[in-house]
Amino acid sequence: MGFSVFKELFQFKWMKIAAAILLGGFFIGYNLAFLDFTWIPFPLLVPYLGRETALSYPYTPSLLDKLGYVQYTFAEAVVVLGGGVLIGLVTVGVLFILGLSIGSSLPAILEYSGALIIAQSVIFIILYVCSLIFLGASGLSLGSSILHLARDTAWRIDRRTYDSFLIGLLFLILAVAVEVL
Amino acid sequence: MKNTPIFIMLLIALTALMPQLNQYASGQVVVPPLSPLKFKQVAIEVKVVNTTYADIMMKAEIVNPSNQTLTYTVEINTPQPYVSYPFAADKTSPQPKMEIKVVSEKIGELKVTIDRYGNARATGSIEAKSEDAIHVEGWTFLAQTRRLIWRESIDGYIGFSIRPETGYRELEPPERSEAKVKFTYPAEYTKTDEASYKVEYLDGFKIIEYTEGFYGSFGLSFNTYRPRTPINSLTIFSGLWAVLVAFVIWTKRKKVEV
Repeated sequence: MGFSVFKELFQFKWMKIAAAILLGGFFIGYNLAFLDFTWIPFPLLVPYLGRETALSYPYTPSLLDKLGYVQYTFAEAVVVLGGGVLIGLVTVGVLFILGLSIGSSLPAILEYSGALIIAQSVIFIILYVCSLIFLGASGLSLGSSILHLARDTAWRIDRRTYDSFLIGLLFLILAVAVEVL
Repeated sequence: MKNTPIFIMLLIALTALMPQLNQYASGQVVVPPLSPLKFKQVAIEVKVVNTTYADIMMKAEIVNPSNQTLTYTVEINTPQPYVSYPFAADKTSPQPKMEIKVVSEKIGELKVTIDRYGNARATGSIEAKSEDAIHVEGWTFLAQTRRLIWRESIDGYIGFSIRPETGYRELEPPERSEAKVKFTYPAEYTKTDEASYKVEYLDGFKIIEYTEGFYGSFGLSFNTYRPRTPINSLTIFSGLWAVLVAFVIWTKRKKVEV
């Protein structure tokens, strides 16, 4: 049952589009940061990763700071999902910028952090990227439905939009848990 | 008639400016007096041990030729880690890691206060028509904010200043003096302007010495780097490109089959 849901989602058009936009941004961000184009201010958009990039000594953030990271992570996920109501345009933009942010943060973490921080960051990135792809697919599908509504005055929404949202939310909760650790 | 409002506005503006214009015309411009603080000899030494630690030393012989006791402030500014959020700056700022000791030969050790931004301050006083020597010693953590992948750099800037405690903004800078600067850093690093100096090697360190104009303050920028091979990120970089090439080949074959 669970596997068939994933199989269906992998066939979902919006899922492929969301993944392409996010991973495209990630690819560009990673390559630019790897080639030392450090003028990119994007690591700050993902504060948890921005901290790992900026600090050069072991530092345990306070609970308040950790809640700050959670606040940002959650806000970004909300914008990715809710941006769908503007026929998906906001979702597309935010997915690309977040992909850039994550990609441009990673090389510095891999080079300058300890094994534990690298492991934590990589796990966070995987979970967060999965979450953004699923939520982005849901947002884009929602945008498509709104566009159809505007054209045909008929509300049609794909069932996979809900599945995608629920799975995205699950990954988001896991990513937040890794952040707070 | 049309130009009457403009004429009136110009008249009002001119009236408002008249006092200032009069001041310049009559030569009543207030010229700030020179600071009485003078420097005889200034020696500054910074030894960067590694990317995160540096020893600091300064010796300044100061003279107060005026008829009044003068209070001065010694200030050392060091680079400290600082994390800012895009929309909420100041949210996280760990306590600075540094230790500075300031001793006046005449009045003994001065109380040093360190703020959260890595500025150490001590206040002392020098009697009228007298001389004193101030010794600053300590160490600081060096925060590296630039995380370059192909270069490992030591960034940072240490600022030294001695100034009258009150009204220094209104006063002209103290007379120019010469400061002897000695900068020591690990031999595997290259300073960006290294070619301009005579470099000596000692126990795995490079030493450069030069003199610099001192008007009561001096800032030493490190700007040193060494090349590095990014093994971890190179692996991921290769992996990403391999996946991209594999994906392109797979897509191309799939389309050919169709």
